[in-house]
Amino acid sequence: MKYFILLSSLMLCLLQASAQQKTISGRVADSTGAPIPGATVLVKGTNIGVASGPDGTYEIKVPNDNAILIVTSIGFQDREVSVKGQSIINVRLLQGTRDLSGVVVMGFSTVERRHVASSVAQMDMKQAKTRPIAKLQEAFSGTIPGVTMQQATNLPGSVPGTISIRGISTLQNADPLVIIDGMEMSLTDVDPNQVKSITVLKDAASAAMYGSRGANGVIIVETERGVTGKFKVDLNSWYGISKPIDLPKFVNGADYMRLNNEARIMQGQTPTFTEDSIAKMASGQIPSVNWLDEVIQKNATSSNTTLSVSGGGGVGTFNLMLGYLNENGLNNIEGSQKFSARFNTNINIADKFVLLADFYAHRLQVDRLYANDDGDGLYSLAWRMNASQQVYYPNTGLNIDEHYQLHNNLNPVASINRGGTKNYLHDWSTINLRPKYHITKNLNIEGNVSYLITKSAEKWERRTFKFYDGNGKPVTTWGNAVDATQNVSRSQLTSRLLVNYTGNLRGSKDKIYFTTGAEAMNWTYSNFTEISKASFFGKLNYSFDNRYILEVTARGDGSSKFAPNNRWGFFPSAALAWNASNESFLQPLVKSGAINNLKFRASYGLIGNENVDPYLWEEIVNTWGWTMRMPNPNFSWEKQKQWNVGMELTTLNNRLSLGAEVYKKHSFDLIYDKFPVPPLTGSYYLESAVNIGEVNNKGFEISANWSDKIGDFTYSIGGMLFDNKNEVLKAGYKATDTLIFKDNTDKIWYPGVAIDNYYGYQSNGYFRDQEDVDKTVAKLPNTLPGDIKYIDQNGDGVINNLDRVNLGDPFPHMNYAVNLNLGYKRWDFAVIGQGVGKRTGRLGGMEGYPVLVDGATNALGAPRQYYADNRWTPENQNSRFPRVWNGASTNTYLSDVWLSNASFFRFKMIQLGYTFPKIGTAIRNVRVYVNAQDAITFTKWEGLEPERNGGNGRYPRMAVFSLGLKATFF
Amino acid sequence: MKKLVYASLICATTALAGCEKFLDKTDPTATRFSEFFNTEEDLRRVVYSSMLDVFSGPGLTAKLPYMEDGKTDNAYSRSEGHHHQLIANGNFNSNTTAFLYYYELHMKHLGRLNVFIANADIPYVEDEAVRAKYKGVLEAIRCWHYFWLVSRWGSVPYYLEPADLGSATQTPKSQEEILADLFPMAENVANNLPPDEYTSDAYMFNRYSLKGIIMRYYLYFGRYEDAARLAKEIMDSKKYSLHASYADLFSYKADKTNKEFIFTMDMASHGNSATNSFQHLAPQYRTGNGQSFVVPLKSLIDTYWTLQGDAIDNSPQHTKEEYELNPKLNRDPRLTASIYMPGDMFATEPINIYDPNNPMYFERPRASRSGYWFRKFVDPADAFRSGGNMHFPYLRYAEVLLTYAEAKIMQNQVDALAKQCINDVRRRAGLDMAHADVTLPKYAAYTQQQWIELIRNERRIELAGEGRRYDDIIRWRIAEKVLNEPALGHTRMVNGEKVTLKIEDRAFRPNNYLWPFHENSLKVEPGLRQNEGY
Repeated sequence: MKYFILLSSLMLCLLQASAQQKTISGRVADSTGAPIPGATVLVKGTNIGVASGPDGTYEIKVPNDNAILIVTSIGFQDREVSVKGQSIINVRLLQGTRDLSGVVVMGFSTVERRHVASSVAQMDMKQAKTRPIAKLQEAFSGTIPGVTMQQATNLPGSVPGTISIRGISTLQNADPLVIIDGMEMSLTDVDPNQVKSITVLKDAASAAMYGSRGANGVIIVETERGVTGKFKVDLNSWYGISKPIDLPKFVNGADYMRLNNEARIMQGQTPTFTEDSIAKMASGQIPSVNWLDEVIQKNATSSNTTLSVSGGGGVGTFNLMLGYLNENGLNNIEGSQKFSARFNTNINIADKFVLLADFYAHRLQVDRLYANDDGDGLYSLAWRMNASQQVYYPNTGLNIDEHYQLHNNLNPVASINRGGTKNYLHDWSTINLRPKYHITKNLNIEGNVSYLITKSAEKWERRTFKFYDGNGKPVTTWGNAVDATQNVSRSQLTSRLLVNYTGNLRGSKDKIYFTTGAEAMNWTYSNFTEISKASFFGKLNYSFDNRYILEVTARGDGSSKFAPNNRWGFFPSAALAWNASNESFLQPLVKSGAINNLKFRASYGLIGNENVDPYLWEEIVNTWGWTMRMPNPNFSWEKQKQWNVGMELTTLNNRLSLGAEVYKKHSFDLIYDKFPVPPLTGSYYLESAVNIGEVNNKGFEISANWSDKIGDFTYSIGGMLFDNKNEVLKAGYKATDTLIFKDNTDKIWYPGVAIDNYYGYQSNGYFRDQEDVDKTVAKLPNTLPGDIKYIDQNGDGVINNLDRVNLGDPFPHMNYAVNLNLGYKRWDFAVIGQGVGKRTGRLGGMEGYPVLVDGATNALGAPRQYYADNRWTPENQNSRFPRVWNGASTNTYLSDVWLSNASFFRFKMIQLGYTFPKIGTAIRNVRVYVNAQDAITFTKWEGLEPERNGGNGRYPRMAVFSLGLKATFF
Repeated sequence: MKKLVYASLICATTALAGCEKFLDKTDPTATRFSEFFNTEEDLRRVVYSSMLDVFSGPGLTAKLPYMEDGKTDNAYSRSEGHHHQLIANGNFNSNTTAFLYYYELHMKHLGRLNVFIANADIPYVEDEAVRAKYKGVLEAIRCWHYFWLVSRWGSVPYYLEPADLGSATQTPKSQEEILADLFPMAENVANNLPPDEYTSDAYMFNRYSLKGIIMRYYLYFGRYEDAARLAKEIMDSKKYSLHASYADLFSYKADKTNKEFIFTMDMASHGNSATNSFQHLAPQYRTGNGQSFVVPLKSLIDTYWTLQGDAIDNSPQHTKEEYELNPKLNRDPRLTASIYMPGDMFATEPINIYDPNNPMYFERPRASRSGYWFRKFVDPADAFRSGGNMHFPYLRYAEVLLTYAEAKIMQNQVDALAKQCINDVRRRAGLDMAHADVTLPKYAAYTQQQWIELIRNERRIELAGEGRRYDDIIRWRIAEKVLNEPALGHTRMVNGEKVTLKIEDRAFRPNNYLWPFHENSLKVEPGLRQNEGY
């Protein structure tokens, strides 16, 4: 019924549009009254438009009395004027562009910054867009308090790392919800150059509007749109060269042989290598091979070019954005290319009716090796070689081309050259339609229908290649493998209806914002999987006398992922703010400029999380009669209660701004979808999805920024510090329960530990000699001198599970960042430094152990030089690391030996730019810049890359050095 | 106005009802129990999958009988993930995944079998005898699971009904309690099973194959009288006999044609998929796929009798060192039939474990680190094909004979039949019966202890590489001795010094005779009590 009324009123409006014509004239002037020549005067919703003359006057025919004029000119703010019976309309335009920071995109509505009562942060897009960022995630490092982005990889075509907002509070996917122009998407899907604004909703009161997944925080992205009356072309292009910054240094061939012998002798085995062969290797008669040099065949390069063509007239605006991102890996095969096109339009259908119609598509092509198709595999292969192993057989006189030596059936160089290629293709297309009807100046109704479809496919090709042993006999054949496959395609349909009311009350003293709406979402996969969500929500902002602000949000969410009768969640929240600077008793300070803005905020709310797989609650019996998982009819939402207190201060004539927040998030009913059940239930996975566990996250965020100007010299310096403490409150049904994880035995949950932790043994040095081993009762079997001496915590004479303790958590603590911006005339210089004050890293895999601990021979690979230099020997008792070993060892248990301080400070970005204001008549704002990303790092971390824990070899982390150009045409 | 209220109420209710329907999404791939358990064929499939998932899957590297010796002094298993290596070398504790893997595998199958047995009346059958047979086989498999669990952990939950979340956490019963119920129940199930091997599914329990398994566990748990009784019953059935050639039993020459395998992992047991014994046991050879996952150790090699049936350190013909340096010298033919060693021809090439250019070089990951390989179940016919089609014995007649002999020896009643059993096995093995016949006068004065040593060694040799050794060293309580020795390999003279390859140190603690419950199991089943010392 409601829709019918709406629809009819819509029709009425359209009919009214065809009334009689009328001529309007007037003058366009700036705020001082000086005429503006060449200003554009347009009739909204039509093609009619004129330009003002040299004296600023214009004359235009409008179709009817309800018409709205749009007046624009470069360097001035746009203005819209209703005709409403007037025939002479003089327009004054305000200088400068509209201050975007004054408005906050809150999700389904925009609110003036001063009327926001919840915790919302905005990214400085100017800075994010003037630097060469290939993937939008990278922009989150060190830019927003409370948001961490641990960059794990520079692998072409992959996601660089995960963003976490105010700590982790779930066992499920902890990625924040990302809304791009009202659509649920991922950050990977958008080119940074296409983004107009990024808003991060941190607390419950702001995220409650997205009840369903707000618990991980929400990132709202708005893309660029065209501007009325200004046709322009923007070009932004950069080219970068990458340099690995975390390559390990393994011992050379001769040292490898010596250390291998050393280990074997200590283990009572016969040494493998003779003095003679070691001497040959040491003298260079047999070359020592650096396998990483062998597989890194060229410099990695990347480039990104974005072209944006935008403009607008009375009928609307458009912005066509084309992007091309190219990343090349470290050999001729690996790399990725991404083509993207976004076409955003505002169509003024009638003076009160506008349709935002946006189209977006991208294609991501990723090229990998067929032999190691995850991109990291090649490097882990190279790590498990040792320098005494050769790539090719030495001249055997056998006349075999590319006579590769296989080591454990592998040779990473052969993997590149003969292992074939694999190509992945990912296509995304979206349509996003947002009709908006302004019923009155204050009330509008907005619809949104969006559709996203993803498709992906892969193909691979390997030609036959034969390997021969040293005697020329065939050993292995890599057979011909050529094929392709299509993956499951996903489509996402969202429809939403919103009603927005914005109005002044009590004669502009108070302001009210009210939004209410409903939305339905549906994901359909081509394998018949289907997920649905339905929501009703409302939000009210009320500003009383611009001093007291109340923000109330309520949302009801239903999700098909949960058991019947447990599908609906209700998530209310409220926030209060006090604009102290608007109090009369502070006016003297405000007038003198000592205080420009002072605001206190407090919020409290409940939000939910449903970011889990569908059907987890259901009974599923497969065709062999297995109950796959134990059904759970009580399976429901994860919930989170969060309070937040914040303060904003701008002082000293807007030069210094300070912000501080403290928060506490209490997450409960956490979903563990692999909760173990007793095996006698006879179910296949012996798991059930249950709501279990409680976690607290508490933390603070402080930021400060100082900016000023001395003559031609402008500068700003900012800094932030934030921390989050994570604590499990309940790990099961009862407060005393502990929870262990089948897939990760080095982690435990019991009240008091962090959600992710290192659960292992404490060590007390190394066994000095055989006598020490013999006289120690509490030791593991097969312990030798030089092995780790674990502490028998309970003194029962056995080293077992009861002796394991919590050794810390892997989360970054005391995160800080500093940024510096300098401008002198046309020069600009910027630095972003990011650091982590405290983090316990794990020297996992071969970053720690002297061999590859693969659960098989445990004897591949070589120690790092750092390990070799700091290893235990009978002569070096107080060493950092235990003895060298190979084969099974008691040293590989998680213990404090393998944990290390991973705090760091890193120059995320150093950039120098120069701007040419104008070249000829058509080119403006030409900026040329050089940039270094991740170039300098200070750390005591004993592993390779402080932002990630160790492993058995991955695609290297890179520093990127780039050269960029930005220009606007017309 | 009232109308409007009603109208909006109706609107709201329909909208909400619409929502509820919109949110009602269920897994399209899910079926219910009633949809699956329909006919006789489903009963067969349930038996089949109950065997396949635990006992007869050709890829079950943790359960295949020929891999099991990797837990013992007979062999070395090179991959931790197969769950033998750590049990052999002692580097385990209550967090070791092996214990979770085995416990959950058997227990969840018990839970599943309980459901099927309780519902065995549901599927439609033409002939009720078919239902009785399948139900009997399911009950037999259930007994086998419990025998196995009890011998590893001692006290375990013992429950024969379908369990829900509540009843699945049973308080464990002691080993004695369970066995007191289990042995009579198993014999009862066996007596109701058909006596003859099935024409197509030799892997399904019949009367005598189940009795063979029960006999084995009577022996393991020291119930020698019952063990001897069942052994005698199987002998008296005259359905089985020793195959003429020992070597042929473990190759394509006789794996399918012998009358010795009583209980067989045949091709039907895994739906005719390829068997992997060559891949699992053989050396890497040219383009072949040998992985050397489990390889024999020096300890096993040195166990083999001399041709005359003597131990190598007690041989009038040669010294122990001579035998060590040349294992083929004057030895029990079962050594050659069971083991590949350096110098042997593998396919067309001599095995050279000391040439770094050779894929069989002992330091290569896919080579044998001991320098020895099993020959049992490794047929060169599989060398260049991706899989085999071999039958494997879970239980063969020789074990019945040896069980009778051992049970009698343990009761100190070494009768003529017991001696004949030993002689039958020795004769078929090809020992020089002029010296090795246990009815000869030199054996007349044997004490019980000497007989025990003889039968234990005989059993170790005869059944080497067939998965019996771990249970034997546990029940004989000799694991403390034999698993506290390092794992050694090939021996040779280097510069006048005897050098033996050493793979790893091993340790076995006095409490290791029972396995630990995994921490995860203890969490999930609060009633479990951790075994001593873990």
